[in-house]
Amino acid sequence: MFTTGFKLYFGIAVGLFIAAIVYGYSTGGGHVGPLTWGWKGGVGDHIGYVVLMGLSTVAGTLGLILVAFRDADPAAQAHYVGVDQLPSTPMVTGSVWPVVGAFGAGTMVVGLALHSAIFVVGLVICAAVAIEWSMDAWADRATGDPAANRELRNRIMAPIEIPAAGVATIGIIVLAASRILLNASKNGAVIWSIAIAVVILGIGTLYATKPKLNKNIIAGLVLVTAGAVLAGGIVAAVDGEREFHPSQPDDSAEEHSE
Amino acid sequence: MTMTESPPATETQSVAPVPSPAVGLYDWISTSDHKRIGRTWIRASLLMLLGTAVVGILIGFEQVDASSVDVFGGDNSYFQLWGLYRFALVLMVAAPLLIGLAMVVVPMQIGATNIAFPRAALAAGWGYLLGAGITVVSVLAGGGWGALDGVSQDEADAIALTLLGTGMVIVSLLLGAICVATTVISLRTSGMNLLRVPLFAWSMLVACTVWLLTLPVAIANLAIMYVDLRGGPLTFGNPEGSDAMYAQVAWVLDQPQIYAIAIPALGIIASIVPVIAGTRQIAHWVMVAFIGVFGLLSVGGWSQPYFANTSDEILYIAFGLAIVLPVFAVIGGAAATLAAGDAPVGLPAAHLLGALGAGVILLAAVVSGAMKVIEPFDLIGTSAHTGLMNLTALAAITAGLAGLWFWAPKIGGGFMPSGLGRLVILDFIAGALLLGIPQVVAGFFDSPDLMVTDIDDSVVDAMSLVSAIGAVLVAVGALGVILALIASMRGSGDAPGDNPWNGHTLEWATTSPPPVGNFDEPPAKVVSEAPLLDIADEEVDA
Amino acid sequence: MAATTTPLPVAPARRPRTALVGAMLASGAAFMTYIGLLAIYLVERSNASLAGAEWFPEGVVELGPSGWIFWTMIMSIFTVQWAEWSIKTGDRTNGLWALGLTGLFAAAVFNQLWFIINDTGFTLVGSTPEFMFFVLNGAFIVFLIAAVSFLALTMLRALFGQYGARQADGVGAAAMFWNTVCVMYFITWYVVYVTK
Repeated sequence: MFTTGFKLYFGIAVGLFIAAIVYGYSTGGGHVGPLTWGWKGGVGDHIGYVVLMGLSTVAGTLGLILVAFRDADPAAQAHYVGVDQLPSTPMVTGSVWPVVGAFGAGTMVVGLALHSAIFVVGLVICAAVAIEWSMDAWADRATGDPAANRELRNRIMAPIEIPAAGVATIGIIVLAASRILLNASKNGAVIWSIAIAVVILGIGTLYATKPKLNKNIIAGLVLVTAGAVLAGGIVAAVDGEREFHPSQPDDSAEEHSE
Repeated sequence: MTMTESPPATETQSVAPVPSPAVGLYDWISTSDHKRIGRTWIRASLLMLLGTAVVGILIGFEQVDASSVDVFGGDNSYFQLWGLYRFALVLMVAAPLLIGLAMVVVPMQIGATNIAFPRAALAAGWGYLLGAGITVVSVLAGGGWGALDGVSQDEADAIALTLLGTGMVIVSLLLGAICVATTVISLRTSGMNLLRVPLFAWSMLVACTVWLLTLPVAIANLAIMYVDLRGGPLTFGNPEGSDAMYAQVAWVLDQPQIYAIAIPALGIIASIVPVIAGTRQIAHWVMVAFIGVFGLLSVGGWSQPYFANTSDEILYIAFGLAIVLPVFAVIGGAAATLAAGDAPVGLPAAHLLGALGAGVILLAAVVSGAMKVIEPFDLIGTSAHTGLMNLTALAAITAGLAGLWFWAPKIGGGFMPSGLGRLVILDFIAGALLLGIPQVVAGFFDSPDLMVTDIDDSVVDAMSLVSAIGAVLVAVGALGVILALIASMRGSGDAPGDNPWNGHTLEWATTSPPPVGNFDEPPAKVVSEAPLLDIADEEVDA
Repeated sequence: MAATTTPLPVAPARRPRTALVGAMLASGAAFMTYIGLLAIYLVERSNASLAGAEWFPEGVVELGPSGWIFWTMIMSIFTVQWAEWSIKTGDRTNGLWALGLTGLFAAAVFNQLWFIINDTGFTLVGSTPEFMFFVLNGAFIVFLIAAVSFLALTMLRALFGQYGARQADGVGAAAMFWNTVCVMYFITWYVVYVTK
């Protein structure tokens, strides 16, 4: 009747419940406070008592769920779905979205310490990952044919992913280029503009000549870029913002106003 | 009695080992195979071990003569690196090493084709890596868990980043723990009820449960400090002039919570010893029960000295004393099995050395902890706290290393170097004991936990020196582990065969390295905790 | 000429408890995070009480609007279970309606909480009680957002047909997390708004 999982979790629950009562009374709890969650009388030290009671409640609940599931034993699961032999868990296809999600979470963390805009970028990445991840998980289970599943997934997501990736790439380039140009001198900005244009042209030409770029190269580029963005964010967080000089009065504008 | 690590000749093959298939970067970051995901966790944690051990050396030498030696260039930097060493050793080395090992081994042990939620496990691994990176960089940039002196706005930003980075590490560990625990609960093969799961898998279920219940309380502490630092009345998140911020999460590194990190160590010891002894574990269910009891007694979070002094509370004392019992019981059970079996005589195997060493270090830890809660010894707030933390975390890491050597054929497809392994693990055990025990002894002479000024006591000085030597040994051991790992990755040595140690559990029923999906055919129905011994017995009977 | 199609093989069966066990553990961890915050809230309130100080000024934190949230959360428990039951029995239309209704209740809860926070006039930097008020309610909002996101993704997958009579574990997992967040609110309501 009582499964091993139930015994583990319920054992923890009972042990911690007793611990909470002992702790409550030994730290100044009065009347029946420690026995009634503070309903009648004090519970003693709140930190210890509340955490112990919380732990006990959660462990007990987990124990009850596990006993309801019969410890999720293979035989019990097979009985639940009405088959004799429960199959092994099928392999799921590989996906880069978990790693992108981790970088998104890292970006959010850096953004929380540095700037809300970076946090929003991280949030957008995580939201995109949540949707992509869900679609991957759905496609994995659409049919029993992995190739058909992949095709199905791409048919739905590619029309969204390709424009979104294009917009994101343009956005990143524009943002990065603007930061560089704002920091460069007047002549330097011209050189930087030409250099950036050449790099974009070069990448475009490379992609046009070799449309099926090696996935490893793309993965490496994305990893390096993501790492650089995070590291840059941390450095910026620690160094703080650069000093902004007051803008020079525009003589011509003054002349016009006169 | 000593045992041999040499696998039986009949099990080895003379052909060169087949190296793991070449894996590109894309495969590496997009994999859904639990073995690759686990390897990412393991390698990252070993790199963190090396870095942490180097910081440990610096701290050790600073403490040899805190007044005249100034390794860190100021008390505040010292305090920040001191904090980093502690959190890194426990949360960024020991826990991820054990989770990584479990991610590789546990699904095979229970006859599953993969881990539960493999994508979440991958995300958790990278989240841990990034969180650890953010924490380390932020501390190096002037952050940390508070500051002993005033802080600038930039340093306050770095402190906020440290809090968030630590939180990210914990969340990632919890996500990894959910994957491992769910695997044990819901992906077992036919006939394997929870009482029949191998003891390492069981210990990981207990450990993950305790981590999932208690570490979120630390996230609550970190969240409150962060929000307060960023815009609150600075009741909790005032970073200036004290170690108050560190103190709010220090319970994670103190007993009883610190023991939670060592729960899997008991499982690893109890998994390796019966295989070496060549017999079934005596009283398997008793071991299951005592690992559970150890888990129960390592539940922390309720003892937060920053908010309420618990050191003289009966519950704190009872937990501290009682936890000695399950450790003695499990190690005693393993020793009885070893004595009852027919372990071959010879040079001890690296993994057996590691298992026994981890047991010794853990015993030293719980005995130190028991002394710490006995009021007349007056060890609260002394360096005994650091000693206890070092001993417990290093027991967990030593057990993890033993597991790395033991399950190497299933992790990477080949053996880890046995000679280097013995040296490294012996060095590691010696380092752990030399690092931790002198700190406990120094505690009897009122050596403080955070030593910013020199203590005028020759015993404390001597203990600090021994402790520093221990830190050096641990760092050398960490370097040795990395070298051994590189050597095994290069595929040197004999091919291990499928079951080189005559293991008893299902991970030894598949090839080395295991294929994607682990088993070509589903394992036969399990009827006991040692399914391969059952098959061998049936063959003998037939 | 009639077009011929080759039927694709049916996806292999999944273990029905995996998602639920994962959600159970995640819900437990989330709940313990909340308990950690609650414990600090109670310790600070107890300290204030021992020092003879007032925790919240009289009449500022009112029970009325928080009670509406309480009842809204109660109703959402029924709708989320309705969603799970509908999907389990293959009634996808009802399941999606129920999920949508739960989302609507979540929006109502956000609206009510926004009103409460504005009504109190508390600021994060104000004082320890005000700060703790924000911490506990803020934590609930964060978990509520997580639960709504979980439900939204579940709804997306249900829309695409992943969940049905054959497989409803994802909806059950989302419901389990939702119910945990409801319990968090019930505790917040009792501790912050009833016993003040």
